[in-house]
Amino acid sequence: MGKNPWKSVKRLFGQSLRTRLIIPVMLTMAVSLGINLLLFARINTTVENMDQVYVTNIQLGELEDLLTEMESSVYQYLNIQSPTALETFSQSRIRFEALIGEINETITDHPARRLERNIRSLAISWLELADQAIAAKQAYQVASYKAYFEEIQDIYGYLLDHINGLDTLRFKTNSENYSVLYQYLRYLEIFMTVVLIVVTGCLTLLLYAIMGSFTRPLETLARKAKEVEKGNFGIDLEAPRTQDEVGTVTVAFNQMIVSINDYIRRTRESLELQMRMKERELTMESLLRDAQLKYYQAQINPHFLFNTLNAGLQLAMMEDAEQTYAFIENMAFFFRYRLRKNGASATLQEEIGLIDSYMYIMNVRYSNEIRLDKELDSRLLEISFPSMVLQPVVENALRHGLGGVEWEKRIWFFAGQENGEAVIRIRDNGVGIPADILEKVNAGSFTQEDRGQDSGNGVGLVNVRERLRLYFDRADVMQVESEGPGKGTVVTIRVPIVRAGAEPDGESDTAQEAEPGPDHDPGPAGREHV
Amino acid sequence: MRKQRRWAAAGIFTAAAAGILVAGYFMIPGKSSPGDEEYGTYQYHIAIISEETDTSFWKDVYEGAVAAGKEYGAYVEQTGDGLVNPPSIEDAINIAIYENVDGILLRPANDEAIASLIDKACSRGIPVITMQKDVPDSRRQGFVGINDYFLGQEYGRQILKQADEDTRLAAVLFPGVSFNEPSRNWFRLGLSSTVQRDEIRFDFRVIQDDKGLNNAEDVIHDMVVGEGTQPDMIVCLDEVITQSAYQLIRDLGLSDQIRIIGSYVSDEILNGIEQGYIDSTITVDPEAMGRMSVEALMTYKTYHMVSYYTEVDTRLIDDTSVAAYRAEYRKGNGDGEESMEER
Repeated sequence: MGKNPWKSVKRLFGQSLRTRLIIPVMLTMAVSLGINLLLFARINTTVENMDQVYVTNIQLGELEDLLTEMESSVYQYLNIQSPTALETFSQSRIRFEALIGEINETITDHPARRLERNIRSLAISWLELADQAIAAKQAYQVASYKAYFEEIQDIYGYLLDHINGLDTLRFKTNSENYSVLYQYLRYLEIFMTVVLIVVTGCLTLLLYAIMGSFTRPLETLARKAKEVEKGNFGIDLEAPRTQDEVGTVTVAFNQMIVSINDYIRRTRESLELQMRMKERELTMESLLRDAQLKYYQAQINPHFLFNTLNAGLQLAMMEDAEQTYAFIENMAFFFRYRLRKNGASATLQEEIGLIDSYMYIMNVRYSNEIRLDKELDSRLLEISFPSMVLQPVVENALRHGLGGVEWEKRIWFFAGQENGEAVIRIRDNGVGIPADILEKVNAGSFTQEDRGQDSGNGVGLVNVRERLRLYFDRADVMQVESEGPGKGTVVTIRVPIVRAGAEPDGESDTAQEAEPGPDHDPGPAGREHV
Repeated sequence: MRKQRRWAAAGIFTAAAAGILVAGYFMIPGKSSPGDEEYGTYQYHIAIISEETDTSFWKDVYEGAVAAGKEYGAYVEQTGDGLVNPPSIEDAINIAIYENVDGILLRPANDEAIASLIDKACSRGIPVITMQKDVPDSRRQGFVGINDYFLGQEYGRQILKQADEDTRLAAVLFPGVSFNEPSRNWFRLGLSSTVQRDEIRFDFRVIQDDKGLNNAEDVIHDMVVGEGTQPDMIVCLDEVITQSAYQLIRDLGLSDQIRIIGSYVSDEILNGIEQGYIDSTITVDPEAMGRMSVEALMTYKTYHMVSYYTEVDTRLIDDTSVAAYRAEYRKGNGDGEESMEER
């Protein structure tokens, strides 16, 4: 701190606007006050000098009066020896000597001092002679005191001449002084006016400069604020120059700009994120639409296929080729079902019909290698069931369970009731599922990647379970079990019993209502149709 | 940086303002009359007294005395200076006596009372030195100047120089103030001892002074255009008479017929010499006279004795030496005039 006095000055003046405003104003006032005091001092001196004109004359006048009085007293005493006159003389003499004593006896060529000294010398001579005259009178030396008196009168005359001369000189000098003083006063007036004007001008400039130092940061701040108002947040921030109120405001403003910029940045980031998500959503939707389009395109072909198949069917009938007829018929049923029931609701019976057709086709393909055993509770045949659910499970069993087995390939299909629920169980005697995959399958985390390239007809167990869940609005609809490799797989589906035509919206009551009658025709409805 | 500049500007401004104030304060003449410190102080007080005080000759005498006095620490005061009515020479001597001065330098007038006043001063222990004119029958301590006999011889030599075979009459005009009867006699003796030519006669006249006004013009006028014989030469024994003669002769256009031998020097007399109206003028060196008077007085103050007669050389100025003198005179008088005006 002590190192740089400049800094301490800066600190002193940088404290507060009030301090910084007061200091120049005080400076201004101090200078003005100083000038005025000086002016008054000079005027006082001048007036004192003017007073001196009278003071000196009064002293000389007193001297002259005393001298005259003494002269008169001496005359009276010498004439009539009046003791009163002597008394008066003695009294006047004291005062006279005092006045004379004040006069400097140094020999000088100063015009006034010279005359004063001469007056002093003459006065002393006068007093001596007066004393001698009085003494002579007292001694009755008539001739002596007369001679002395003549001398006294001569000196009295010289003294008066000198006093007059000095008086005139002083009056002349003082008159000159007066005119000089008068001129001086005029000069002083002009000088002081000029000084005041100059000082006022300088102080105004100084104040302007100092005030500028207060307002400049404010102006800068205002300019920045205008920029901000226009939306330009990227302005250069002004560092606060002082520690006063303006400095505080500048710091606050800077902080505000920083905060606003930060907020804008965060908002932008969040918006960008939302945009990206929206974009992804749009992409997905577009993909879905694309898939749907492809799917619709795929729908066209089955019609052509069915017509062709029907033509083939008629041909087989004309040629009495029964097996071909049956094969084509099953095949036509299978595809029609898939086409018609795509995503729509069906019955369990229709689903079983589809399994039958599928198995027929597969057995034609694989030379009756696969044996399907069905155990059905006929009451369940009419229950509402999502289409395209059971066939994929069977297909899954054929492809993965029984794909590469050497032994007799068997599939057991069971549909029955347990605890008021419809239980459909499809079991195979295939390779089974390893425990880790089984766990994934049951947890629903078994994905396409896990399965590899083999995707079959595209509808896997996961899909089946999801659809069952969505259809019946419950989670535990399907369970896949396997006791290990080579021990086969069991897929168990538990669904509420809902009769076809009713929406599956509850568990218990629908189960009651869905209780099918014993005389229900167990035949596949689809087959009749075909 | 800007802030520093601003404060520097403020500092400069304050300093400048203070400077202006201080300078202005002292620039203004605070005292209208000079202070005591501008004047000298002295050890001795010498009175210098003369009947007539306003001729340039006397002023030069006074200047010489003042300058010499300063060297001795003595203030030479013209007694009565500064009084409204200048005192008479007697009063001036009395004033000096009552002022108890350390010495009196006196250029006496032709007055009987002077001797007794000189004696009065001397009786009171005040030494008196007479200048230019002596008062031989007084107790004065010394005389500085040229005595009338020698002066007569000096003028005689000058008359011989100027005279030709036609010169018959020379008028000698004595100023009554400074040439009393004995003085005139001594002068005549000196003159006649030098001019030993029978054909040249002298017409001695005394010019009376009446309170500063003399009758020189009347006397000269009467001589040159009057019924008597016109003089061939006019010898004027003081400054005023010389000037009167010069003006009159010039105005009357008689310069071819009448020669003027003057006394002392003034601007006008020098003009007269330059223009050929005045043939020559004889003067003592006034400054030397003033100086030598002070020296004589101070010698007496120191040793209580001084030689009775100190001779001051005379100087002749004619048309050959006037230019040189004027240069000298101007220089010396120029300073003198200035110092006189101050008083």
